[in-house]
Amino acid sequence: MLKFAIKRILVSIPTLLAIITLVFFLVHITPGNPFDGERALSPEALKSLMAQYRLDLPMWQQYLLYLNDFIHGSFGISMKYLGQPINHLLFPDNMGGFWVTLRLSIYTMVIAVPFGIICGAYAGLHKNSWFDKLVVSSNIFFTAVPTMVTGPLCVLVFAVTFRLLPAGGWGDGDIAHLFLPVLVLILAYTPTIAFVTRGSIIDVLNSNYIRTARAKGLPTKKILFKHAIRPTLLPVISLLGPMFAGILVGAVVTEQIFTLPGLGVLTTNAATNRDYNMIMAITILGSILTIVFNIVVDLLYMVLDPKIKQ
Amino acid sequence: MIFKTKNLDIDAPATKGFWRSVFSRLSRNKLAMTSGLIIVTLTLMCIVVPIFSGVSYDKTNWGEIMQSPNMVHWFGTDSLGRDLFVRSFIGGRITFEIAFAAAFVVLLVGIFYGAIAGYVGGKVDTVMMRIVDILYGIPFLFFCILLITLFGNSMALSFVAIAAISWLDMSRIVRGQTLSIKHKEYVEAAMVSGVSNFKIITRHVIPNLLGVVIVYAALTVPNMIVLSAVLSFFGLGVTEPMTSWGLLISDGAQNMQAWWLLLFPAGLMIITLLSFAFFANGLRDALDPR
Amino acid sequence: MDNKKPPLLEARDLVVEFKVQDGLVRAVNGLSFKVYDSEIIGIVGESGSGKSQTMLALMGLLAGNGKVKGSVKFNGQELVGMSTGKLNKLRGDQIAMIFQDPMTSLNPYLKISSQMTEVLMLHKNMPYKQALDEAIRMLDKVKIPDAKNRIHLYPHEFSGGMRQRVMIAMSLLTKPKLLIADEPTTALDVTVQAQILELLKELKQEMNMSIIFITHDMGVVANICDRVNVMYGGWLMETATIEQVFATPYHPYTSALLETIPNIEHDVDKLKTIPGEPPNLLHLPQGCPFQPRCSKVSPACSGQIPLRKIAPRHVMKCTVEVAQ
Repeated sequence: MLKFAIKRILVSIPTLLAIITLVFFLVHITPGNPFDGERALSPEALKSLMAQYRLDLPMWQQYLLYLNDFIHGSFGISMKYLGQPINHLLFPDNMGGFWVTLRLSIYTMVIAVPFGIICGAYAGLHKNSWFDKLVVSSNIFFTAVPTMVTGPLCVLVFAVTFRLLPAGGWGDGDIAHLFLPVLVLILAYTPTIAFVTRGSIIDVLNSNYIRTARAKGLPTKKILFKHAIRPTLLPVISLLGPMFAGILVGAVVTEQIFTLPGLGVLTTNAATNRDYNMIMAITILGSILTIVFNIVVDLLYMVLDPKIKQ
Repeated sequence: MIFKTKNLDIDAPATKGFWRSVFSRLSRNKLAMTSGLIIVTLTLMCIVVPIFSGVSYDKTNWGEIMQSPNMVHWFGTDSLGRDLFVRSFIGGRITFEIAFAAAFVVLLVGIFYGAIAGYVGGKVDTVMMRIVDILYGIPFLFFCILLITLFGNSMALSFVAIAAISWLDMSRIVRGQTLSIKHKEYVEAAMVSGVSNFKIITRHVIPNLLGVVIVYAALTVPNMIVLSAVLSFFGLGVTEPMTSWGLLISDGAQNMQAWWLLLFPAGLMIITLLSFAFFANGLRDALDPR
Repeated sequence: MDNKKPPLLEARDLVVEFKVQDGLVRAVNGLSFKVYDSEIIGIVGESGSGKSQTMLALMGLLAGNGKVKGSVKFNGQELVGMSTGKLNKLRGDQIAMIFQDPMTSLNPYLKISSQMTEVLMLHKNMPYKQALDEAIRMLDKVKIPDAKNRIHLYPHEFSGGMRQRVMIAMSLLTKPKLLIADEPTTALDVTVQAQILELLKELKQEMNMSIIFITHDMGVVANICDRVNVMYGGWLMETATIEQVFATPYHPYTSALLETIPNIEHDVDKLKTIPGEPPNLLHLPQGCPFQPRCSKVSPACSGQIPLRKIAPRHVMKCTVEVAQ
């Protein structure tokens, strides 16, 4: 187990390095420098800026220094907020930045995963019931229609028309302010989890080994919770890896809708101000999270599937 | 050795009769056909409405600000007094243009990349797919935003950027398909009997890829619609006074008191996305009956 | 065999139907048969003959769209229409079943120990330790080497033949009165097949149980069975003792089946097959389902065909003339 985990982590290091390299060179090979568009700078000021951002060095030196910074846990300095380390903007001491996005994503996962699994299992066990049809059709709807459409519609219904909840803002992270954004995210991801669980449990219950379990006279409860649960969950777990990356991005979009002070705002500001260092940092941060989550999913998979043990 | 020809699928499935039966299965699927009809109608309206309405989509009209839907302005007007009906369809036109163009690039890159990896195989395949794996590790939206920031916020460039990183799924699917076709008995039989590579590719590989590619294309267009709309939320892609569905929705989301500003573009987009979903499902069922 | 004793299992006019898209498929059509104490009865037929569905029906294991009519009595208890709760007390305890495909019939996510002990813990109320000892003893009996350690492995760590041995051991843990073996050797290679048959014969002697042995292989029937039921297209075609079947196979289908057994003495180039295709249950002909492939077909075949008693313990459903 530990050996597998270490091996799995070591394997993902080159992937991360490749991503950083790709992103770095994409940004630095593109002609023009980020200060071109700024109000006219005196040559001296420009020179000192270039020096501050190491843009006067040869590219390979810049690259190595960037890597060095990264290894020491730093994403460099923001190009918009001159002199501000990006780490301070991404990971502020108080609530904001990445912490908001992370909180949204975690709330979503913690609610959507068990809820989706339970709904999907129930639907699969009662195939062709109205609930089953609800699961199937809501999967079609919510995979087709993204949060950027459902989000504003939820605001229109719950916040504007019925005035039940605040339309946006963080408040102090209280339930009222978080309810709608998390609801929108849960709506977006629960149906997929439920649909996959449903298909999986239907397949499993039709399998030969479940037939054997029934032939042994085991009661239904035992068949479900001892024999069917692992194989049912395996496809769901392999779905969660890519889904987490999706939820992260979904959370960023949701922040835009509900004007929450998370990665979304940082991304928009960085995009409009051409703050390359910031976008690089956000992209790399997202990649790290995706990779980490895939490792977690692989380890979970290994625990559940005896065939991968060796 | 004598082949028992009867049991060997010498005939490639992708023949004229195959496509005819696909079409007849599709035409019997009412949901898919209705969806297809809606897509065609919406596309036509996006072309026709802005031309023949006689109303400008971008002219500010201070006398008619924020009107709710009425007989003159069917969808109402926005904060600059512009007619939302015309703006919705000009926005739809831009959205479709971006989506179709991006989907086309995605298909082109994905098919070539995947087919080469799958057909050549070996080390080339390993390296090519490793690259795809790495790109999968990057959160898509952030990478998109990075590219657009780098190359400037122009529409043409933004869809090239979108397409440039959306081909990953396509290439994987095409590669898998190519690999399986390569090992089908009828292709191996053709190889053994000395049919040229070119002929094998044109006669067997491409026709058999077509099914998957068509279904995937029908899924890629709505994906591209969503992605371009999401980018509008970050102030990227299409810019005022030109508009797109994403921009209209994000505008409507900021003017919630004027419900029509949100509901009409959102409704159009939902209808479009669902139609594509149902149509793609119908296509898949027609191509692969169980 | 003591005929005066009531049969262990008696099926009467058993009908199994499936609702499918194109209508109602009758997989088993008015089947009646008996199984007596400690005999091995064979049920023979091609795919689609309804032999497996019969067994699944009496175990209560039919797919969701299946329906059973008629009567099956086991030890005097009616199985058709029995509640799942009551059925769960019988199956796995007094009636056990082993399946065709040992590769997929064991749960790949649970250790053998867990899958075996749960039977004893459920039906015999044994504590885990005792159940484990019992399971190891049973694995020894089916000749699994090093059973004591290997019981803690997962199914994928066993070969196909070994897995079928595990299945057999698992089904015999509770010393059932009736074992249903649904093509237990079909998926295995020939040498392993012979070993498994030998094993089943031995265990039957030792544990004094009855076996229903389902197969499409007349050779296997000759090897193991006391009596045989021949099925085709959901019909019971012929019932006879093993001697009668091989000496006087009256039914044209039975004799056709017998001719398919490869013969070592006659050197032939080609294996004999029955011409035509197995029956399509959606489109069966009027009357006897074997008509399209029968060599002795007559106009009477499309009418009502009664079950005829030809000799003691020899019954057949056919219009063909029988020389007495």
